[in-house]
Amino acid sequence: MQVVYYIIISIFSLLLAYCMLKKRPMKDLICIAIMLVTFALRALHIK
Amino acid sequence: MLGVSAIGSIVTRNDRKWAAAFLLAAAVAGSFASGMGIRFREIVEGPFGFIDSALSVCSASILMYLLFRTGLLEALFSRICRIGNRTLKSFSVLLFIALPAMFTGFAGLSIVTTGAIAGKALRKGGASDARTAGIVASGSLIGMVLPPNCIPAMIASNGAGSVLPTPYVGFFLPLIVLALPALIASAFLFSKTIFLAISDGCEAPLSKPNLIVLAAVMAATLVEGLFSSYVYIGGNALAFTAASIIVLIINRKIWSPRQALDEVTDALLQCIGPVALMLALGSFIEVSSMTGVRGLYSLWILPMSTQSVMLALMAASLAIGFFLGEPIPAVLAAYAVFPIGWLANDVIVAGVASALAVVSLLSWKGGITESVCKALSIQGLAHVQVLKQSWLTAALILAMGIVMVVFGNSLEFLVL
Repeated sequence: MQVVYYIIISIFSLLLAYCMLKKRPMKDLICIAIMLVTFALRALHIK
Repeated sequence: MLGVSAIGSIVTRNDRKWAAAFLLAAAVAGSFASGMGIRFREIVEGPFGFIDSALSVCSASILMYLLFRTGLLEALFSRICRIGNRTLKSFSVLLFIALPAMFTGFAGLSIVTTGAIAGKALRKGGASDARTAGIVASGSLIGMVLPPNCIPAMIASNGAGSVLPTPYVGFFLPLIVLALPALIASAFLFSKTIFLAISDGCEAPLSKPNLIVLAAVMAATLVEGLFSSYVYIGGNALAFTAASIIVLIINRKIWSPRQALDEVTDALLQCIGPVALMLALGSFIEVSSMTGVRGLYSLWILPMSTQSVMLALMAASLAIGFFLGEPIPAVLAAYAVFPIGWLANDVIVAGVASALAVVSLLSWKGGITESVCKALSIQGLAHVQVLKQSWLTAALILAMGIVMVVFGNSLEFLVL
């Protein structure tokens, strides 16, 4: 299950980097960051 | 906490993407105000409640956006244009507009994809701007309520238990019952306009492999929704993800790997607003539980009838939602379900969710109306003019919601 979360985290990390490079509005970056942090912590939470 | 969220709504004019940031800020502020400092655990644990639902919404957004970009939805619309029967055509157009919202659980994707296709055809066929916006808004709202995914129901179901992630199961039939009267009434209400305005237009080529993928996903969600007690197919998120990968493979000649990545990115950008809002709401609710607000609320409502509390919070959602958009009504939806907690059946939860769904149409700024006008490049159209066209859809969804809250225990057989 952790593998699935790490794949998702990778996708959202790429998305965040991509949006930063494209200079997307700050609100978009915050939304992506919220999703990224949630999935990352969930992945760490699974034992 | 409510103050921070309200200030956020006022300052950003109900911008949904900023709403997520302000809800999160409200959770942090609540944690500080209670003298507990920044309670990182509660702030990040709350969103875990929505994590499974978020996966389903994200994967559905990717699939529907990819199918839109392949031209499948336009091809489907050109087939719908050929339908000769007035009522059937009206039903088909409304369901066509609703399709992406059905899968993703939020109206936004329907508005920019199928809504834009149908809206363009309606305006070209002579329908007024207000009528066009009303039809697109109604179709998107119906789609948001219809299963398999419905973000308002996901939010309300968070109040039904303390298990993380909160299970979003058994909503298939309750959501169909919630949306069906509105769909039927809207189809009859708009039938004349749709029949006269949408004529047999240009023929778009229909890609059979893409159509088969869409049909297979619809069948999978149907099986998952109706027969999940007997058959396990891995959940909707898996079906949507597998279908998205198949669509990318089928259309590998259309998109280079770089273009495919761009399409997936665009698809995710469509859903980050609603999904981030859900996750931030999880923080807000968790922190409000930690600080004792939920406990105090439980004490207050103890002598009251649970149904009265739910109906009162639904009414408050509508009043607050009109001015401040979805964040506070979303909190109220979860709190409306708290009194029945883990005893809540999905029919009642879906009923409560109806108020939150209607708020997205009712909201004077940042709601469905504004998105529709933006997507269709309609300028100078007042919010009230669109509401005049789509009030019946919203009213019927809300009326069914109230019926489901009041008679939810008798309708429990709908939960499969």
